Amino acid sequence: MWVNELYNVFQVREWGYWIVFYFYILGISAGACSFSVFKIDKHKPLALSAAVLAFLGFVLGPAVLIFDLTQPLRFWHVIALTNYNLTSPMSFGSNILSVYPFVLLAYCALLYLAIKRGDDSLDKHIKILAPIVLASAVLVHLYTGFVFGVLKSRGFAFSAILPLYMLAGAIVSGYALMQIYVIAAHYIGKRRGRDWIPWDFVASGRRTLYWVIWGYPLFTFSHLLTNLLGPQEAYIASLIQVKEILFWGGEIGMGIATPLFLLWYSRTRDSLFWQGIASLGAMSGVLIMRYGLVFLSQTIPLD
Amino acid sequence: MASELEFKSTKWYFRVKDRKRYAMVIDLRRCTGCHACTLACKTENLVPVGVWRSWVKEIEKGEYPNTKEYFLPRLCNHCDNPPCVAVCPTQATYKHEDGMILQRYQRCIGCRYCIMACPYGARFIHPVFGSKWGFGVIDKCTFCYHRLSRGMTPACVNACPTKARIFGDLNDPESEVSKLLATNEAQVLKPELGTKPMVIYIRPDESIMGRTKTSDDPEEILKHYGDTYSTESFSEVKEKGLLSRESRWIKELKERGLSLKKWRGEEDVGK
Repeated sequence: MWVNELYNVFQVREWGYWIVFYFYILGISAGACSFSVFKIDKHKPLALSAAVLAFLGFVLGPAVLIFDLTQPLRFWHVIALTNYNLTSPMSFGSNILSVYPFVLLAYCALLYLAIKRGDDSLDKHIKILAPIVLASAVLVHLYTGFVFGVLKSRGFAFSAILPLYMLAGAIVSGYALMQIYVIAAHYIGKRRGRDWIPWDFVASGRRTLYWVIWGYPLFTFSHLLTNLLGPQEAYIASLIQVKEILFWGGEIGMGIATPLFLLWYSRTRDSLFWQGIASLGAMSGVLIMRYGLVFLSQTIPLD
Repeated sequence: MASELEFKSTKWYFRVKDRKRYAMVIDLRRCTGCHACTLACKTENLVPVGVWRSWVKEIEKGEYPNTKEYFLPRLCNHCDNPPCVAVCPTQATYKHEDGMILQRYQRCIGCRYCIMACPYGARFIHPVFGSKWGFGVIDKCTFCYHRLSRGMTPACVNACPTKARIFGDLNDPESEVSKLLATNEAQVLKPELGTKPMVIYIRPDESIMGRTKTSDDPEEILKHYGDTYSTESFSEVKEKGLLSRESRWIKELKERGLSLKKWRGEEDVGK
């Protein structure tokens, strides 16, 4: 039995590229922040660089979001506590977002002072602040997953897995960016005759990135499989996803399979060039995931 | 029978003491698809071209020559459990004590989260409302709140020539809507989402409610939506000049020799 729509109003995609970039940049910021926290004991200058990159990501991400609003000058309404909506993930996330930069700045300042003094006198304070920084970074990115995950009107995105899926992507992209930074710093330092980043850090960064990427497809395929068995909208959107070359070639091929191979294969894993390519691929894969999520969740007309 | 049971099972929330619970009942047996409601709404609420607070969806069922056409008047469902209100980060969207879902335009930041959350596609960006430093705010049907507060019925109800749209208070057992719902088989859109809509349809055809199922064959459905997906790509939308609602609206104003400022009346105010 065929049912044709003869007339209906059209719907446009309300969230587009700016939202994709917002999720992506905020994810990189959260990933770089977690990298920083786990590197405090091993290499403080590297931890500081990661924290500064995370802060830059924080500045750029919300700027993109504000630019996307139809009333950008009213953005402060979101952080005004009188307007707080307990049931809105965006309200919750915006308030976390307003705390995150201050915590991150304090953390950067402490790390900077610790490096300048060259002793362990501030380590106690840094270790108290580090879990707070990590928690706020994780929450800042988890909220973007909840923003989509609670949309029961959008079958493709309505999923409890989504926040963790987004977080996994954030960690992959953040660690990949930091690996590129480590590779660049090691290479430039070596050419100038300085040992800024020792080879051990490049090798350990490569190993960490390899294992972090391994965890990512778990969420990719869990999301895909649950949607394929889900309601009509989720099912059809997933079928479109499965037939999209961007999904197999971009998210899976470029973002997961290629980096895993390059970081595992004995002839490429110790090459700075191939490590850089693997990291770039991983970052691109996560960007494509964000693109797919935002666009596919709006693909199927509401009715 | 199933739809009747569904309606009865959600009846408890209609009975709130000393409060009105406004609802619209749409008798689909009477709707002729004349679109008078759409036009009345447009003129009453100054809804710009390209966006709608209320419209009539037309659906054809069956294969030629055995086909039948259905009309489904659409508007904001003023849900009792509204997803748009739940997600709004600034409480710009709120539920009135009489049940209507209204909008505080001056507080709306235009994040479009409510548009994403609404399962009925009832919200849109009003390109003219809002401050001049931005572009538009979110708008939707208000059940003509400005008319209700003066004791009148919504414009669409007033304009309907066949009395297919009936408006009233569900808390009043003597109201026409209560009586109609007590004696007829009724259904709401997408009841499975638990939004408890306050726009209730009498005698709907099962296949036209909720998401339109184009075929029983998944491949056919995929083809249908796959086509939609490809034709809605960014580049094609750009080519058609439909990049965004604002550009379409401003283009139309220019074609009529008007500017946005003039349309808003700001130039007159200045004089």
